[in-house]
Amino acid sequence: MSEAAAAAMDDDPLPAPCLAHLHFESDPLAIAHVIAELMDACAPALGNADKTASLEIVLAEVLNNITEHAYQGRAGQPVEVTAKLRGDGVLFHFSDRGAAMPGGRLPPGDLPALACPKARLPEGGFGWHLIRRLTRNLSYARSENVNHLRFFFPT
Amino acid sequence: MELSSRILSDAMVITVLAERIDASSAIRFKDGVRALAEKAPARVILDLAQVNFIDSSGLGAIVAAMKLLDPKHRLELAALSPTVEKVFRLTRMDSVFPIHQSAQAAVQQRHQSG
Repeated sequence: MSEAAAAAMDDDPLPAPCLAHLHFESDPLAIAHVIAELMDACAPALGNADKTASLEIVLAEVLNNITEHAYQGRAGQPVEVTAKLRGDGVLFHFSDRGAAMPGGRLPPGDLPALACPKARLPEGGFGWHLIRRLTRNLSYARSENVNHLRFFFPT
Repeated sequence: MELSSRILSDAMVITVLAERIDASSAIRFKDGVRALAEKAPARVILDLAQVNFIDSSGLGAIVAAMKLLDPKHRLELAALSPTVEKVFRLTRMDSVFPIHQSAQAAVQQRHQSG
């Protein structure tokens, strides 16, 4: 969808308390710190340990993608995150000024095939599958050199 | 990436002393396991009891370690915490590794050959 359409979805007449609004700089060595901050902010919305685990997995994969792929491992680059409580979940919006998603669209997130000899087992390609399994309404848009990733995390 | 190892019965147990295996530590983890396993018997049991989180990079590093050790060694996993277990299950990588409740249970189980 276009960024204008996605942004319009944010302008909801229903109240959506903001759980977190972070501006930070990318740092491949400090992703765990950002995850912890977001987990703390979202803790009131998370009903159980399983949801907590799921959210941590999603945040790690999303932040890894921004740091390693959008910013190609460069530290000190701007990232913005908002988390809003909405209905039975949390609406997340990540934005960065890094490289565009290859092909301009989200990867499908298919799991690599495992029915093969050990020596050919995949070591990667799991991240988008994990994100898609654990979130809803995942969307990507790019406008004015800014990447916007949005998703709903059901709690 | 702190790892410790000991030989118990027919296996080397490699205990991961870090709480996370993630993008920032995955390569050091893989290199550390490979170095320790050089002196290992055929069974290498990775004790993950202290690891409360892995991301897809950590999962990839565990797979990479298994491939590096193969075929001389067989890598087995023990003591997966809930989040770690979830990552393995969602990616179906739990079907690729022998997984034990604990390092002790793994050591006590006789290795089935054939």
